[in-house]
Amino acid sequence: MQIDSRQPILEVENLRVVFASGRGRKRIQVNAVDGVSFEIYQGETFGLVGESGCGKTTLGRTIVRLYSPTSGTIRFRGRDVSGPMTKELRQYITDNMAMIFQDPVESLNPRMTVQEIIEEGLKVRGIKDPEVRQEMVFDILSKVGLTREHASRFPHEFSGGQRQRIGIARALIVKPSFVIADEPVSALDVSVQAQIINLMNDLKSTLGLTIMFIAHDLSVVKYFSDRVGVMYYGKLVELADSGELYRNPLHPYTRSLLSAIPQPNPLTERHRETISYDPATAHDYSAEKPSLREVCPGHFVYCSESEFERYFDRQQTRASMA
Amino acid sequence: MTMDTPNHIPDIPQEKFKFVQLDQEIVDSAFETEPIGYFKDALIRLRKNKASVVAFYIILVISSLAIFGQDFNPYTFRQQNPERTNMPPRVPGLEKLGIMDGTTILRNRRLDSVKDPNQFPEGSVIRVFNQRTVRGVEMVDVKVDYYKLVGAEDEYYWLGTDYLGRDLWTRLCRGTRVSLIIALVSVVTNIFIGIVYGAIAGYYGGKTDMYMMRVCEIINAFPQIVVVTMFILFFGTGMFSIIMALVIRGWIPTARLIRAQFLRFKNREYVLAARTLGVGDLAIIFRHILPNSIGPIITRAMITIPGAIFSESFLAFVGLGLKAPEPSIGILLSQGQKVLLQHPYQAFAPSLMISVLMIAFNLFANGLRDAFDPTLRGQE
Amino acid sequence: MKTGESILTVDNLSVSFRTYSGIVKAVRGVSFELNKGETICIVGESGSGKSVTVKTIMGILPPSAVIESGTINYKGMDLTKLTEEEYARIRGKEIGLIFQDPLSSLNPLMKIGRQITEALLIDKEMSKREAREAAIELLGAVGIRDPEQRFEQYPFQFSGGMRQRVVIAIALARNPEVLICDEPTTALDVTVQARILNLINELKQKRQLSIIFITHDLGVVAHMADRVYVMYAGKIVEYGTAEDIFLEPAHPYARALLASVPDMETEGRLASIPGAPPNMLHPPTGDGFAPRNKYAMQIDFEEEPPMFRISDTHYAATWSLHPSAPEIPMPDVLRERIRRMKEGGANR
Repeated sequence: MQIDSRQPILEVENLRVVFASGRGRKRIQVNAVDGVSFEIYQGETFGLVGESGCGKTTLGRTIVRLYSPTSGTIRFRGRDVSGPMTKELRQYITDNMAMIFQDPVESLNPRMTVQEIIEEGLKVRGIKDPEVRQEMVFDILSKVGLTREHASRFPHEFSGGQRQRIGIARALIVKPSFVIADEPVSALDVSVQAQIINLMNDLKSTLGLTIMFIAHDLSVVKYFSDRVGVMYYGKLVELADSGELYRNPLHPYTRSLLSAIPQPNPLTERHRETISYDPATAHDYSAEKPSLREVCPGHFVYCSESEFERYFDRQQTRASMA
Repeated sequence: MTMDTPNHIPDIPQEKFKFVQLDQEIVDSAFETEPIGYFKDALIRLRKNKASVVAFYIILVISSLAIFGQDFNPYTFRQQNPERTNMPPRVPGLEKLGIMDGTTILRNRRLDSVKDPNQFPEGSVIRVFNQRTVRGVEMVDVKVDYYKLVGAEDEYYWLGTDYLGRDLWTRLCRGTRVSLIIALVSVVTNIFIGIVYGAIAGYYGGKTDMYMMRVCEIINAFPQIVVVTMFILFFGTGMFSIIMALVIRGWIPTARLIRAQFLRFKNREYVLAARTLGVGDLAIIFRHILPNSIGPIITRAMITIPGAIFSESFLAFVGLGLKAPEPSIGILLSQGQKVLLQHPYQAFAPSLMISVLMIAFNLFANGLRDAFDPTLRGQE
Repeated sequence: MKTGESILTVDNLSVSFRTYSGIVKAVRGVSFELNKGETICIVGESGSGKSVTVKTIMGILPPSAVIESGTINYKGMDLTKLTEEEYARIRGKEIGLIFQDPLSSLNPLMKIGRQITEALLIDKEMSKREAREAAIELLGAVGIRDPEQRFEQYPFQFSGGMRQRVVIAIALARNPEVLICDEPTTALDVTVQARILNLINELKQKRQLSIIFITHDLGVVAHMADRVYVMYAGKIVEYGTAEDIFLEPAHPYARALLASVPDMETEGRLASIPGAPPNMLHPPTGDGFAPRNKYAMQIDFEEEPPMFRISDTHYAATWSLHPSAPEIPMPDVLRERIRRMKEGGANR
């Protein structure tokens, strides 16, 4: 694996985000992100999958500091960005990271024209000349496959895929180096998903982006990402190269997730067996503490010592067979 | 199968089967439809609501009366005339139909006085009825042309005059104007304070929100009438103190509404997106959240106007109104009420005015609310 | 094609909506039939008219909609001609419906049990006690554990998947023969989706249901469908058995749709569909998909293609099946996948 030789752009270490509500005896704490560590390397696409409520969106929003971490560190290009928010830190984060949101309806202000939506980031960055801004907006619109006539229109006139492209244009016009795409295709029709994925792939290579791709659809993540992390109830349970994760899933949750994805093939799909996962019966963590361990280079699984040995053995036999 | 399958294959010339856009890049087509903005959409739906349209025109007519109405006749709202007190309404044209013709019924008159041309000049008596004898004196009720009676055949008081001989039409127009100004100014002030207060509470949330809302509750806990009475006693009567009296608690519902709007919108993805772009708090409040709550704000303002008019009238009615001779609808009502049995017309016109105003504003506000309702967007 | 006894036949159905921008022609001459005991899937993107079609069948169109033409034949009745009262007897009793969002189809203030017994008591054939027992049995049948305790709970105490099970239980309470599922799993997580799909299939076997399943997820189609109807711009452009559609798609839209979904093996660039779906205020003439089809021919823009017969079960409305039409290549991703599928199928 040459991963080690590459430069991490983002390092997340033992990140915890706790939401609390109520006070006194009624106080409820939710560990939305519960001790997650991973690195994202320069130029790669890092996929994060998990089901609703697993904390993947919270994790993404914490990295761009829409939420504040409860504990743990986030380093971007070596600089700690998880500390108290200052004006300077806010600017550093917004200059380097951008976010693409899930809901094509919710994520565009219905009262602003496309032009106004896209150029807002430029205004914040002090580009005063409206003509310069306009040219930049036209330029990015053509990059995402829209025309300059679309600039004066309001979001509700566009289809879902077009709106998502406007969202992408808004995120990319400020030239970030790192983009978090939070379920950018899951609210779209399948026919449009491919359009957005291809577009993001193209922009990634032309603009030299590093992308963190958050989704619940494992086949899209597998296709789009270089490495994939699987989240379950606030914890990262498995992390591997996307091909490796698909061929050789180790954690029982990953296996159940993989088995549940319907494939567009009626010959096999009709007889597909799904594996169900119940954390209460699948693991016995009463004696040993689980942690994220590296089973083979680049393939991490959240497991206890004995599970690790089992996974390791399975890995060895597989390797010897190959 | 119900579907018809063509058994014969349609005969079509070969050249029709050429690829026509093989080398073209297929891009998103420009829109064919006209853009429909937020307000245009609301306007279209507002127009569909007949009641609102009628209400809107009624408001328009009343507003122009309030502005220009007092110039329609030669009288002023403060000009007193001891010889023309309590004149019944008389309108040119309408008088021929037997309504508002300046007639009134005088009860319990001595028959001999009625017959005395010095007291009842020639032609002023229209009908004598209910003749009876009380303690040996002949008493009658008599319907008279009051204008002839007082020798004012050429004068017209459209809505009559009050006990000081002031023209009620002029006073009603003037009073409507005063009431509307008080309502508008207090509502605008309420909305302004409410927006600022509610926006801060809703946007920053947490502790800020909690303390600010507690302050609201404390202010709200004092009984309205007590606060207002103290206020007017302290500052004296006048337009300013009445407006202040309406503002002192009036902004709280608006603040709550705005706060709710902000709580609703501040976690919308477009607001989050603006934050990840580094847009400042003020810009987010004024560019992203407030414009999206404009519908509820306008509706709110429209709904509170009749409330403010009514509150002002209520204050005037209980004697906390403006200084004489300045009229307002409330003052006219209160004066009319005192002579309701003798001269019912004096209370009738202001009552009608306030009722029509309330109904019109409420209908219009309802129409606005539906027009701005986002769930109804784009529907017929 | 007579594979079985037809239970529901839709013939040449057209539905429009009146908006102030003009008339939106949502469904333009759709015909299909549902045979006893089979599952048909209607696939298409949002705005293709698939939801409007099933809403018409259920008689729950909004007031702005107008049925322009066509008939819906169910057991000798034309559903388009029914009055609201007659429809009340059909809905739930003959045809059950499962919506996309399980939360909004349950009353949050009513106990789960009452919501099911309410449906059971409509027919007035049961006592309250019998209804309660039947409801508990139904809850068990849709795979809810401890149905007796769950009976007393409110919707918020249920997870998304559990709620959808309750919705299914309500839809099946009066033993309908036809079940219409309008994207029942779109709002659910994949692992939950897999369980719900299996549940629907199980219930179909047990109760001999005929199912109309609406979805845009081709994986789900492959899992559920006996036959598939592909809709685009308010028309059915291709239909056939699941194998026909997935292994030998003929209409350019069906091909493009299949080529645009990645499966686990997909490498290389996805074949995305360029452009945007048509605005149904101004429905396209000819083949609706032509403006987005790279291989569109002159005739596609001029004349609407008839349904060409490919096999006894497989029909498609595209001019590319005309004998004079040139050969049109299949997208690479799709050709590769079909090859893999056929090999996989042969190995079995």
